[in-house]
Amino acid sequence: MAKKLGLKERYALMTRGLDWEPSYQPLDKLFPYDSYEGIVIKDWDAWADPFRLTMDAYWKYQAEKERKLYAILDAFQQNNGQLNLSDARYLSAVKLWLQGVTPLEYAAHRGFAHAGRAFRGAGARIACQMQSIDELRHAQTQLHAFSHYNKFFSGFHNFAHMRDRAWYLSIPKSFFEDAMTAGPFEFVTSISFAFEYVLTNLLFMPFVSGAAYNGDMATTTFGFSAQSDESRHMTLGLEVVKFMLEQHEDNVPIVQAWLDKWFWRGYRLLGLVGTMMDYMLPKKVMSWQEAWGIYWEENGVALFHDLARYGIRLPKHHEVAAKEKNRLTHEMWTVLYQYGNALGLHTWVPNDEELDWMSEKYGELFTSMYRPRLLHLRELEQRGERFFNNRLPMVCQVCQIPVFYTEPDDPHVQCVRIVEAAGTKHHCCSDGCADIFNREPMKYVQALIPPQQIYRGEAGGARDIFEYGAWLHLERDVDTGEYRGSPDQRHWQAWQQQHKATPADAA
Amino acid sequence: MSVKHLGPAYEYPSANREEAYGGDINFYIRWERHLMFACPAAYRAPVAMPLSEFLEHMLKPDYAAHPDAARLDFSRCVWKLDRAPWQPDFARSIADNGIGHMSYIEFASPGLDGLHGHGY
Amino acid sequence: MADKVFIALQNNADAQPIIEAILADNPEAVPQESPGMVKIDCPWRLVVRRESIEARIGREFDLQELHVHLISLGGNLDEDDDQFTLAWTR
Repeated sequence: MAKKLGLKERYALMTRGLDWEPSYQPLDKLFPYDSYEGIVIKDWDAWADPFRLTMDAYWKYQAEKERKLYAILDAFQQNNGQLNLSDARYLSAVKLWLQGVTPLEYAAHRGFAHAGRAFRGAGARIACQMQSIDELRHAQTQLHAFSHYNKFFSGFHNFAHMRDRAWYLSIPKSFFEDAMTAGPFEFVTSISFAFEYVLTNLLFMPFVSGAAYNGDMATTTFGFSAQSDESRHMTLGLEVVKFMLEQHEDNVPIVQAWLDKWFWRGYRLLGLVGTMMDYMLPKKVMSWQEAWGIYWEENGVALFHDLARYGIRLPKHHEVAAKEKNRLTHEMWTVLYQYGNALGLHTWVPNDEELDWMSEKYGELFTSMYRPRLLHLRELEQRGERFFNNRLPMVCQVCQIPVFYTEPDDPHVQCVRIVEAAGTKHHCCSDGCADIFNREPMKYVQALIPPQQIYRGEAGGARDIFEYGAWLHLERDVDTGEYRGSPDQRHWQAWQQQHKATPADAA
Repeated sequence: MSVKHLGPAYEYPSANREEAYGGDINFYIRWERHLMFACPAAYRAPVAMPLSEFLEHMLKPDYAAHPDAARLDFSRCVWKLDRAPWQPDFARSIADNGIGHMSYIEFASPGLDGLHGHGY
Repeated sequence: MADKVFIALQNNADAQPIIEAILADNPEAVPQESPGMVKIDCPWRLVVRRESIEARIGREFDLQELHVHLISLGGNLDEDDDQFTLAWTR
């Protein structure tokens, strides 16, 4: 009997060995998209997937992951797992995941299917194909897991409709559409490297661990199951970056510009995740600031040190992220809080115990600056004057986040940058976003900015924030607004009492 | 820089060009040191509207939740239009004051510096 | 300061012998537990050995079975039938 093949030989046979040379079309016509970005590739065979995962092994291990996942989802649903959550406020984070993250998984599925078709190297094509299937799996498992919550809580009913309309969901949507409308090398650099390698650990590790801590067995299980695929994607991301850098020195400045752009875009997007961690997890695992320290300042920076041998430096504006790490989530939460009338999740002022935790984690700046603001909002609410800002905000032309960030060196002043193209002024939230705009202005002048769409009459004719909420299919004060007094809170309290009642009480 | 692309020229008009507003304009205002309102506010208004009418009837009600709003006197504020010092004439129209499509107005109200000593 | 590589695994029963093997084979590795997971950091280089895992579980182990328990990693990866190494270039 022939000797069993080693991993490296099997990988070679099952990837390169399955490719063929076209006989009647030139390669450039067969693969028109993999050269116009300016990336020079001399030897596609130098590409290797370090995991050396072949399709047969892929199916085997993915099937095993799915069996484990669905056994747990079944158990969660059959045992009314929703009653074991720490608090129903936690579900705001889950709603934001369903509305904002799950559609990104589906977008990634589409994007990698396209990138996989675009590359002429068989190794790259197969890695993209596996990732495309992974991403579809992530969208499906998340929908299955969250569908259970839709039976009991508000805000889970119309995510696909909301994804195309809601102002806060245009943040993740525009992020991915920016990547998908780039060439295949930029797409893989943006998603696999900048987003997945450098940044998604922040979502899938501290946040999912937080889900475990808050009793959400369903999210924990799909989250970690998805992240095991992510580690393959991250490895693909690092591989594609090293591959481009090793193939030709002319690739280095192109890759650096993409890393600058996508670090900043990814960082801006992750502000939402930080806010989920600090504000929406009733039981906290780790603050945004601590997570940023571990996953970016230690692990991410180590990665950039490794790339320094190719002439790659840390991404531009990383020092701004460091300056913002003490205030980002506090500023972001008050934005979600005040525009809560057009939000498919609830917001609230944290309780005293949570404020103490924030004072401990964020120190003097929080205690002197943000804590009094939250207490002021609490006082207004207790007087029956819960604060909402119903005037539409200025929104960043690039990241599409309302322009709320403060100047890197002065947390008292909003940071606004004015850029100009196509004969019209536009506004950005930061030097990072302004740089991205100025590099490709013709791309970003096309952006559909939600408040502008409303004013132009392109949001179903909505004339104010309440009509706009209805156009998103949000029921006022059910899906939107304040948590205290919401149907979610009332139901939760009633179920907790029932759940804890002894048979004697019930009788 | 321009966008790398395949095919014909990559040129597009702004999705938010002035022509899409039917004679009105879209512009933005920030009240400095009042971060309770987290973002500069966006407005659509007719260019012929007197500035005083805009400020009193559109802008001021938006800030009603702030304790400083009741004492806000626009004539005592310090103004900037598109980042340059600016002296508005409240009786004249938005257009006559030089406010254009996508203009950005900032005003400070000396003596009214927000809550908690932190410009909130 | 040494740049650290890391591997994060689900904190379940099947992963325990893998975690033990990693800690035994990498004396500088430091495990950090948080709910549901274990993150193992190690300066510069961390190796996962097939034989060390097999010695603990008493059966053959294919290193690609790691995928079922793996959450995340950081470092340049090199994998063959016997070892799975994460390293940063010094």
